[in-house]
Amino acid sequence: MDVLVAVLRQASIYATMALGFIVVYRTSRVLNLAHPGLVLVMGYVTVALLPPLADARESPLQVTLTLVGVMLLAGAIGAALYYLFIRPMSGESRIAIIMMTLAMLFLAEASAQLVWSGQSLFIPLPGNTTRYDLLGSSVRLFDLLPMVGAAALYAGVGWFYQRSRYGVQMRAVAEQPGLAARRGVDIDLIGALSWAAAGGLAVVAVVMTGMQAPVSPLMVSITLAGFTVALVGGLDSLTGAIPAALLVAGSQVLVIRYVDQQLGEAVPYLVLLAVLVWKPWGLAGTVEELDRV
Amino acid sequence: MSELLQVLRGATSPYLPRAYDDEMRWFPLSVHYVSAIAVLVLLAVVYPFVASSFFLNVLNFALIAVIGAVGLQLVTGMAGQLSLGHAAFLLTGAFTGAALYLHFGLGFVVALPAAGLAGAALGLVAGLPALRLRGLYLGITTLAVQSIVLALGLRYQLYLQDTRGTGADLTLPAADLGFATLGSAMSWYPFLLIASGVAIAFAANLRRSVIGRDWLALRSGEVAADALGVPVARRKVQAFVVSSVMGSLAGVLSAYYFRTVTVEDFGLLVSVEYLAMVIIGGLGSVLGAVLGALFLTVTPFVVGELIEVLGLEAVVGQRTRAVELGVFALLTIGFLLFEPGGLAALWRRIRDYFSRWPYQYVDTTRTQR
Repeated sequence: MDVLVAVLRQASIYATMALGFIVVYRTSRVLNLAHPGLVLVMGYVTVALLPPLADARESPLQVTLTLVGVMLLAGAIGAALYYLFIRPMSGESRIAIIMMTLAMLFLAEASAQLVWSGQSLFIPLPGNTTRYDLLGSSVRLFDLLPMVGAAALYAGVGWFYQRSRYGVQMRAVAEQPGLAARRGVDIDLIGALSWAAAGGLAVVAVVMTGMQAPVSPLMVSITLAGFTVALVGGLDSLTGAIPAALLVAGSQVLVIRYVDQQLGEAVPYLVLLAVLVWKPWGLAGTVEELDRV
Repeated sequence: MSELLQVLRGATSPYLPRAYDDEMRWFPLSVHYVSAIAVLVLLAVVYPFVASSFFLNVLNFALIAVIGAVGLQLVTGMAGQLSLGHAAFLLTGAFTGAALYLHFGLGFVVALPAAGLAGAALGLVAGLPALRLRGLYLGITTLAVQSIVLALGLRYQLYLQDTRGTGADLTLPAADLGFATLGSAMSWYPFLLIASGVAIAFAANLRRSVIGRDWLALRSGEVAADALGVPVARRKVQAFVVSSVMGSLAGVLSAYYFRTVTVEDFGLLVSVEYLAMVIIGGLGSVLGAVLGALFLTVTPFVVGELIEVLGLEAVVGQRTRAVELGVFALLTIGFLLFEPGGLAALWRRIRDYFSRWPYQYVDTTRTQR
């Protein structure tokens, strides 16, 4: 039972992290390797802005409002990053754009080190001791919240892409940026929106991780493991990400528990290699059109 | 008329190149060329006597980085395949050297070719997904290779700590060439100068070979290259193998240079730094890889010196590493935004400015990639 809970919890965290990569990739075909940096910085910012645990217990409303505020802030940062660093790179080679996101990642790491000097800080969240009896075993509230959160997120983002105006525009831009622009879609706005969404998702991801472990520079490698989930599922696919998250988290938890702690770190990447060799575009990713000749 | 007939019959013509020498005539040894080489040689000879031992160390370190960066330039710059796992290749070389010494007591002379072989093997493995994958997905598998090799390296290091009681770092003896021992920075300098020179010449010549031209075709358009008969998958695997061999050689050199090996030195950051060297230098140009490697290796030391000179130690305190990382990131972003062609393009512009002076415009036919 507790193995199952661990797998599901880890899978929901990975799925949320993967969503940050997918949202950006879907609209702009940019591999957002800066996402781990965003997660790291937003983690520290969340810790800094939330009231200490004793006060937080008194006023859950304040905690909720602060979290929403942090998400909006992260969205603004994401959009700003897009306009500052990604927009000017349009038309450059893919390798240069990836290099840009990597440089942003290390800029975020450097600023996190400068301001917080690599400390491990717990996010003060009320409810960390709440437990429920479920099917004969006791389960922490913080084990359940990520699962509920990830499910809600995927439903929400799926609805957003299917129904909402901006979601449809995002899909249009993803399919044919040139045509979309000629039909009056503001490509810049859509790109900025997707980066803003990635920022908000980074906050959600960091809060979910913060329920299990402190915020520390290790967040970067954890989020990169979440990135493998996005690839295993197919970089632009929501439906692929969920089985991918279960697969990656499942094999990682099992290996760590029964085989070896260090090898557990490499498991997501082994799964990634195996799946990509079997299905080159991930479990459910769209096969990309041929390059221009 | 008779002249034309002679040409048609295949008699000698001053215009038709018939042999390699005929083509080389288009590139005469100009005064500029000779004097540039002379200045470079002079600089290389004088530098160790002028520079302090600290900056001689820095240059040695940069020369090792040049070998690695040129290797990465082959796969990423020429063949156009993103490689995010160059540190894994360096790690393979370094750990091959360390393992040969710890288990068999074999020294530098054996370690060097062995590291090359180990690198070739890993490059083959890392390149194998190329048979199935294209584009970004292929690049990301190199990230996977990086993480897996790093985890295995850590496992091996812990195993050595448990069974042999080695410290956190594996220590190596001084490199012994048989006729000389490379003990000091001064004795390493000529060796590394020659080694990096060989690497540069190898890469520059490879660019003109069948493989090199296939790589350039591959970079411009995979489908088009395939249609023209380039064996795409094989060339990709070859690119990874060659790059990995050069990476491993740089790794074993750095292992023997610092005489310590630890997994910590081969993280994702190192892979990204090498990628940044190649991009800041200028994608696709061997000169760019050299300039980028020199530039990015020297920068952190210059930053350290600057902090000392400007008296900022009190402000920075223990966070020098973070400042260096930040400077690295900002430099990379700056180059990507304002000089996408990198240092090589900058150098070309400066050279053209002087070679065209007093004219303003550059003859576009001469600016080749």
